[in-house]
Amino acid sequence: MPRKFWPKIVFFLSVMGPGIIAASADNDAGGISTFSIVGAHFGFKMLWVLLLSTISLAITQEMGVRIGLVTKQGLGGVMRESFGVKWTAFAMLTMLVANLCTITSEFAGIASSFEIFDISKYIVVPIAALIVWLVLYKGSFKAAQKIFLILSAFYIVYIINGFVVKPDFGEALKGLVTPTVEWTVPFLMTMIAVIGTTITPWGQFFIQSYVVDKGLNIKHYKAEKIEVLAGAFIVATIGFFIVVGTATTLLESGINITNAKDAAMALQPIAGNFSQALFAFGLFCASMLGAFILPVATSYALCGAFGWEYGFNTTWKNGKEFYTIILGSITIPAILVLIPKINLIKVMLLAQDVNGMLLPVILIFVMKIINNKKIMGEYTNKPIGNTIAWLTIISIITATIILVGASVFGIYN
Amino acid sequence: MLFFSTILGAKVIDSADEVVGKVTDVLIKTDKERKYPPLIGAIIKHKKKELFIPAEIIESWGPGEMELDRKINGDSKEIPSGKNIVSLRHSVLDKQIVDLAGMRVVRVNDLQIGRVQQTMSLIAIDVSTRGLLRRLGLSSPSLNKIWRPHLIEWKNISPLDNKIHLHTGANDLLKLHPADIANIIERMNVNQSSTLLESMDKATAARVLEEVQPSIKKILVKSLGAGRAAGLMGKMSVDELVDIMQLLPKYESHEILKKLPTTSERASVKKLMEYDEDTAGGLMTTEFISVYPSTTVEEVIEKIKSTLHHPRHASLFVYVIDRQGKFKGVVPLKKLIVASKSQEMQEIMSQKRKARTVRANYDLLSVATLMTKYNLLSVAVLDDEKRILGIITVDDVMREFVPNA
Repeated sequence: MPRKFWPKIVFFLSVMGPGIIAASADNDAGGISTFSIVGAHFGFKMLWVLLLSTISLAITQEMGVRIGLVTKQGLGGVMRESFGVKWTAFAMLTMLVANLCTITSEFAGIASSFEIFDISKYIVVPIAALIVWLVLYKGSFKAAQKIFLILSAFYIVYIINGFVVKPDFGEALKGLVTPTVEWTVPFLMTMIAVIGTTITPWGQFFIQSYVVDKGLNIKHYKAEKIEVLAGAFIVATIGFFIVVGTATTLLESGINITNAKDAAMALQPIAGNFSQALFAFGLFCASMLGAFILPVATSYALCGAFGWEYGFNTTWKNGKEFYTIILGSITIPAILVLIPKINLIKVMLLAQDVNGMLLPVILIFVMKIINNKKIMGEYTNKPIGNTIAWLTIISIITATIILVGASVFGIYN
Repeated sequence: MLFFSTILGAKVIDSADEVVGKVTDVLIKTDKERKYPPLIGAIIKHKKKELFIPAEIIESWGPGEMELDRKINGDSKEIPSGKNIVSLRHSVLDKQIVDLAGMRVVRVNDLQIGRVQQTMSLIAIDVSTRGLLRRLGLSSPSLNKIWRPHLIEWKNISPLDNKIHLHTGANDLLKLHPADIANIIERMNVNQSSTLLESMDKATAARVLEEVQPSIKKILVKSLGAGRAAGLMGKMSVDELVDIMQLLPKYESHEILKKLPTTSERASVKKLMEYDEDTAGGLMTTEFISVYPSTTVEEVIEKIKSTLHHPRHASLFVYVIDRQGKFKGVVPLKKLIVASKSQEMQEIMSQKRKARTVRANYDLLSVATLMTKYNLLSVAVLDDEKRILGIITVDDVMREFVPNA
């Protein structure tokens, strides 16, 4: 039977699973800027946080996959059936806030990438928002997702760059395994941001609904587990090389990242004068990928939990909640980014902080579900998974409390 | 109007005006005769114990307070259970159901309860956002203006939870058109939809599966497994069957092919799978009625009658072939009806020269163009020696242009 070229490509992309997609989307605008800041401001000191959050990313994503495979329902749906409306509403509100922040950081990323060429955000952001909406409403979400996924292969540049700058890998590895904490507000904030950009509330919803929509069942568990591990590994590798690259170039020249141009300088060793254009391109693609996925993921999760009709084959009349949520989660963040004089890099970092701080709420729900025999049957958590997940939850909560305390009592230096 | 959300968690007061506990659940008894299932009682939490309170001793159900007509001594009565006893809290509230009237899958936000012929019964299911807000304690007149109430009568729903009563639900579902059932199935998760498919008889399930969107069809066939899928697919027309096979990876389609019930079907499926799906060969079905030029009208009508058991057999036209299988002409059903019984096909058929035909390698667009230009309901597909391979009907072409309908 003669086969065409395109179906083959599409087939290849369709077997590329949720773990890798979520991982690529994880390294979005917030990911690039957070890791750049980590390297430029703290050198290798925070690499251990990256390592630990990657491990717990793999653990939590695997739990999401398992819940999806067993219950065949999205996380919102499972919450609704096991905790009732009030708790679900609370969890959903948490997710909504986190997601709106993340989408804001995506638009901030889009704005920053054009700022490099001195194009005003007042032109770029409305156009980008309009494109996202039109593609989602009239065009194909899946096609857009695939295009930007391919383009996000740009990250390879960071990996190559990581070698070109000839970093001290010995020191880097030491940073990876030696926990160091500075009890200062900037350090703690950046630390929570690293966790928040790696493990996200939306990622937890995304991976589970992806598994359900693809109709996978427990037979696919092993394959999916490997995929999730691969995804986590990709996140960690890219994050690692961004940190190594920026630490070696920016930290040593004493540059503080205050805008995208500063962050772009990390790519100078590999791209020379093109570094700014290259960085802008990468940041733009990563941000667009997030800007496409997140509004849809938000709307899917909310509609699934509250029983509104959803999916792009619903009409505006039947799916009015579905489309309203998408529209709202594009426009509100876009408008926030347009506030005059805000620092786009700070917006991106703060958004990751909010994600990190809200993450425990979602993870506690996930833990409650995955340890419930009535729901999971024989597929409840093993002690090791429980330990790591609870440690993650407790450390984030502790870090958040200390951060808030530090801010209030002014230990800021 | 009494809602379940106002009963759940309500204080229970006995005849001595003492608070004896809180309502944690309400049980109903479903039966086919009654449109509105009666509430048989409530489960309350009394001194840290679950206690069943039968409906007979409940004076008032609420809202907010449940009043009993006697004193509770705390003896725990057994909580009734059985196939037709349904817990509203655990099996209905917050679950997904099929709204048969609206033909969609919705989530239960609240339940409406009322008196039907002196018995407290479950009347309807609230799926509106209003119901959601009521549950959240955010109900207010100004918010209520935004969302319309949306209640679905109990008789119009079908629970999706496979633990309860899927059989009654599926029976009601079967009254819908297969295409509408397919639309509902597209909204369910695979677990629910394959359970539903399996609960139907094979012929209906096959027709439903035919109507499901290709991407979901693929997932469904996979989750059914080769054996069961082949059982269903044996009831399908050959061209639809081949469409599904072409969606699947090679080894899986082979698996199904091996398990198809009849060998003749297996052979024609194999043959059809050799054609690219976007060509006339891929679009066509091998199920059509062919007759010889010397066959009489009477014989043809007998032949049509004998194929009636196969509902997908397209019989608007019969195709005339010679002994070598070469295409000679086509006879529309209308002509068969008006012709006299003894007339032979060669007298009444449209000649080969006039009848439009296509080759197996024609692409979809040329087939569609030809059929539109000459207003054809179906067209014969020929090979290089003018032998007839199959026919394409207009619905096969339509399906290609509107895949998601």
